[in-house]
Amino acid sequence: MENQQPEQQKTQEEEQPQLIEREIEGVTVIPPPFIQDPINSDTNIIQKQEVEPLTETRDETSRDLLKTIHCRLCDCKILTPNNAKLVEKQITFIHKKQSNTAEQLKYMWFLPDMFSFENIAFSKDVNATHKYLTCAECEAEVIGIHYISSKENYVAHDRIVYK
Amino acid sequence: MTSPATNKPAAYDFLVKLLLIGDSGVGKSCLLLRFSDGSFTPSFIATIGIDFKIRTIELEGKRIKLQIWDTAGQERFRTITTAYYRGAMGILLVYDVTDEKSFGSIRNWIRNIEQHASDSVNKMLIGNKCDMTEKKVVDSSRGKSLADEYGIKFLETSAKNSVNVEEAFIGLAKDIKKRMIDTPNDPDHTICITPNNKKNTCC
Repeated sequence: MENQQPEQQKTQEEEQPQLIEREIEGVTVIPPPFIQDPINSDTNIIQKQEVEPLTETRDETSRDLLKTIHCRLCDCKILTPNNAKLVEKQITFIHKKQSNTAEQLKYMWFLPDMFSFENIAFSKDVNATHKYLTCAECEAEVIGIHYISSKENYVAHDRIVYK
Repeated sequence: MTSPATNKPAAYDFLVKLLLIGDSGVGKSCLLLRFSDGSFTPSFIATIGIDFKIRTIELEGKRIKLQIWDTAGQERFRTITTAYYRGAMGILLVYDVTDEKSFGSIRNWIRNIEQHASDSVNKMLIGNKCDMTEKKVVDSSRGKSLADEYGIKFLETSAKNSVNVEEAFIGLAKDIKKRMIDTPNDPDHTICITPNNKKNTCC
């Protein structure tokens, strides 16, 4: 088998390792399994009544984040000021424990660049379209989402705390 | 009334991609996770699995973004394809000090790395689960000897007790920084990623 030279890493372009089935030294490597989103037509979705984030958390004009965002469960630092913008976008997130319930939330902190996070964990691809975001330290619940094609990142205001 | 932003944007100086490599069950996923309390209740996220984490550390006055990939699931076949190694600047080879077999696999992993990863990739040998002293079967001296044989650093960690976990990542990042930035003799291997808005460049 021909051993290709690895490509040069693209600047700031997140390159997904494309694992395809192939044979190496007589061993067949199976690509990772397709992971389905646990939110489906059977999921009970609750439209949560949210209060808009306090004015002190953001710049009124630019809507830039002014506070530091932490995990509400273990206090890990997730985002520092000026690295996200408040937007309204309806996104559904599963409840903390594995269950058949999800919440539809609308106040989101938006980051175009994943490397603007201070600390964060990305799940494996779900439905081959997105990754869920969780705390890098406790991994206790879904706090946001990353869309694979657009590379956009959203963190739910409802699932974090401000300091 | 809104206060003007006083903090500078959290720009970073370097982006470093790290891989965690080793047999199943040696605790690689736990190395990525520090328990915030004594008991660990698997969350919904655990059923999907973590792909990678982004961590920010301060190193010798520089802000380093670590992107840490766990190869969980792939190592069942004791081989990982070139694609996974692409761009990796550092690799943590992990074995379980209570599992002789996982220690024996390290040579195979190193061979796999030599075949598929960049020649200049920094490596570190990690003996995990050092808190389980009663069940320990791989002595520290054997881990050290193997690391010395390949000319790499060695650390024993306990992800559960957060022993040496931070030190492992910081130590590896420090070595990578030294190789890629502080020693500019090999320009082909020097990769420096800085935000466009940053005025001072590091290279």
